Amino acid sequence: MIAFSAPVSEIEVLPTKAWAAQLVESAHAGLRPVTLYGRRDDAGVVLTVVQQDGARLQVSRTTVDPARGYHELTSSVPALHCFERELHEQLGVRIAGHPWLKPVRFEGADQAAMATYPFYRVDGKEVHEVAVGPIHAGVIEPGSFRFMCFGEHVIHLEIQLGYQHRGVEARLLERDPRTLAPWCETIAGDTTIAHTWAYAAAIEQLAGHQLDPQHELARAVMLELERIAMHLAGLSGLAADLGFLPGASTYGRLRTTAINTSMRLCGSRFGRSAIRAGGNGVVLDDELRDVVRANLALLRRDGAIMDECFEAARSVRHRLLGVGTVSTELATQLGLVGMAARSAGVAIDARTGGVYARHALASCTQATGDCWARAQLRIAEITASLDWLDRVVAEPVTFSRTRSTLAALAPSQLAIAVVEGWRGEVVHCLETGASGELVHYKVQDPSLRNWMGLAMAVRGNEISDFPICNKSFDLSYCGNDL
Amino acid sequence: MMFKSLRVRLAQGNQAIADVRTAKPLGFRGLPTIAAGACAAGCSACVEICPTAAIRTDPLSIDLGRCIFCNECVEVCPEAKLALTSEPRQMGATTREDLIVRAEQRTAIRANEGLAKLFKRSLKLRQVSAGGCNGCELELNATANVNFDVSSASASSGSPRRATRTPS
Repeated sequence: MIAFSAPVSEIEVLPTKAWAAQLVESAHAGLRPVTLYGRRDDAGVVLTVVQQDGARLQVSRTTVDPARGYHELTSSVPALHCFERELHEQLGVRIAGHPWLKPVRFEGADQAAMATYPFYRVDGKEVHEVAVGPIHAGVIEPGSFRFMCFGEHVIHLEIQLGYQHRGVEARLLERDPRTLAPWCETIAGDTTIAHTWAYAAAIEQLAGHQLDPQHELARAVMLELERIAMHLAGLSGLAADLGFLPGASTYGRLRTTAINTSMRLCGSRFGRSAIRAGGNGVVLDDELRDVVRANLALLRRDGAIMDECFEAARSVRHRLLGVGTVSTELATQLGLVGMAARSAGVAIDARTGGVYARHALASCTQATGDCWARAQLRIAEITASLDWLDRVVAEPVTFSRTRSTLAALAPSQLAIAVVEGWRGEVVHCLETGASGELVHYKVQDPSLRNWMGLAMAVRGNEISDFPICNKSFDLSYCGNDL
Repeated sequence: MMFKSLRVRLAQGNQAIADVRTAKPLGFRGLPTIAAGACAAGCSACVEICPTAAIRTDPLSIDLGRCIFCNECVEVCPEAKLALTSEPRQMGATTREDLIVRAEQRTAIRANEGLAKLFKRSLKLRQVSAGGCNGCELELNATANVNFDVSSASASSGSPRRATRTPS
C-alpha cells in the first residue's frame, strides 16, 4: 500500500504551461503517472497529477479555465489518454488537439448521448463490423464492443462503456465520510477489499488515525484471499471459454474454498465488513487459524494438480500462446497497471512498505504479454499469495473485530491511497475543505486504464480470439462506469 | 495428459453440497433476527448507520430488499436487539412486503401450486445487469459450479440473450 497525505497549501502549484512541461518531462524521465483528475472550484478547474517515484507519490497542481483548457498531453504521454478524456467529459475542460477524445462513461445528463458514441470507422469494400453487447450472452455486466474486421481478422476493436450510471463519486460526498466503508465495498464487488482498504487508508490519514499494525496485516491477508479467489475465478472462466472443462470446474470449486475462507474470517464471501474506517471486522483465533491453514493446504495441493494439467494441455497452449499480445513497450506507453502490466514485463506493484516491509511478498512478472502470459501470471500469483499467507498464519497470529470512531478530519488536506488489488492498483484520492468537510472523492479502478490494453491486444487477431483475450484481462465494467 | 486429467478428477472427488435444504454455511451472515420488545426511547443508532436506509423503527424492521448484510446495525445497537444469523434460507419472498423482517416469526414461503406444477424441473432465471457491483453476477454464475450445481435440480440461470440454452 502506498499512501500520501499533505496539507493542500503544501502541494506544488504551477502555471499550466510549466505544470504540463514538468509532467511530460518527468514522465519521459520515468516517473509513472498514477492519476490525473480535476475538481471545479471558484477559480476554474484544479488539475491534480499524481506520479510514482519509487515507493513515493509526487503530486502537483495547476488551475485551468475550462473554456480555454490546455493543449493535450496524450500525444507525448499516451498513458494520460483516459484521464484527459475524463477531464473533458466530467468537467468540460477543453483539451485541444486530443487524438482520441471519446466518452469514458456518459455521466449525468450525458446519458442521453449514449446512442451517438463516435465509433472509429474503417472504410473499405470488404471491411465489415461486428457489434457485441451491450447485453451479453452470459450473466455479466453490460458493455458494447464493436469490431472492425477484414474477414476474420480484427483491424480494430472499440469498447463503449458507461451503461451503468450509479454516480459513485457524487454519492460518496453525501454521507459522513467516516462511515463510507459499506458503500466502498460495492464500488466493484469483486474488488471489495482493495477498494475498501484504499478508502480506509485515505480517511485514516485525514483523521490522523494511526492504525494498529495488526489490523494492517489483517487487511493484507484479506487482500491476498481476494486475489487468490478472483485469479481462480478468472482461470475457471478462461478454461470455460477455451472449452477446457476440467479447468472450468476445478478452478471454479477451488475459488469456492478461497471465498469461503474469507467468509469464515469476516462473514462474507466477498470480504464485506472486513474493513472499516479505523478498524476491522476480521476475526482470526486459534480455531479459525487451523481452518485457514487447512484451506490453504488444499488450495496448494489441488491447485498444483490442476495447474499441471492446464499447462500441459495442448488445446490450452494452442489457444493461448501468442494470442492477444501486448508488448512491454505498448503496456508502458498505455499506462497499463497490475496484472495486465506485469504479464507484459512491466513490474508495477503497490504491495510495498508498511505491512509488506514486515512480511515481504514476492511480485511476479511474465515477459511475453499474451493470453498465455496472463494465465501464467495468475497461476504464479496464486502460488506467491499462498506462500505469503502460509508464512503469516504459521505464526500464532490473531485478529479481532475492532470498531473505532475517527476524529474530525483535518481541514484542507489531500490524502491518497494506492492498494494493489487483484486486477491492479486501486487509487482513492480524498480532499477536505476549510472546515474539514470532504469536498472531493476521486475513485480509480485499474479497469479505467486497462480497457484500452484489451482493445489493442485484440488488433491483428481473429475475432474468435476475443472471448479469450477479454477473459484474460478480466476487467470491471462497474469499476470503469462508477 | 490422460493421467494428469485423471489426477485432477481424482483430487476433485464429489464436490456437490449434499443437500442445500439442510446445508449450514459456516460464517455466513444472512437472515436478520429482531428481538421482541420496544427499543430504548429516542434511540435510532441503527437507522442512522444503515448505508442503504433499510431499517425502520417503531416497530423495528429490516427490509431485505435494501439490506446489504453489512452488519453495521448489529454492531451499533446498544441493546443487541439485532442479529444476522447464518441462515441462508427464508430470505426470499413472493411479495415485496414479505421482504420486510420484523420481530415476529417469518412464515416459510410456499410456491403457488399452479406455478410449482408448471415450472417443476424447468426453472430458468434470466438476469440482465443494469447497474450493480458485479457481486450478484458472480454469485449467480457460482450457482452453476460443481459445488452448488443447480442444474441437478433442473434449474439454471442465464442471460435472455441465450434464452434457449444453459449458458456456460
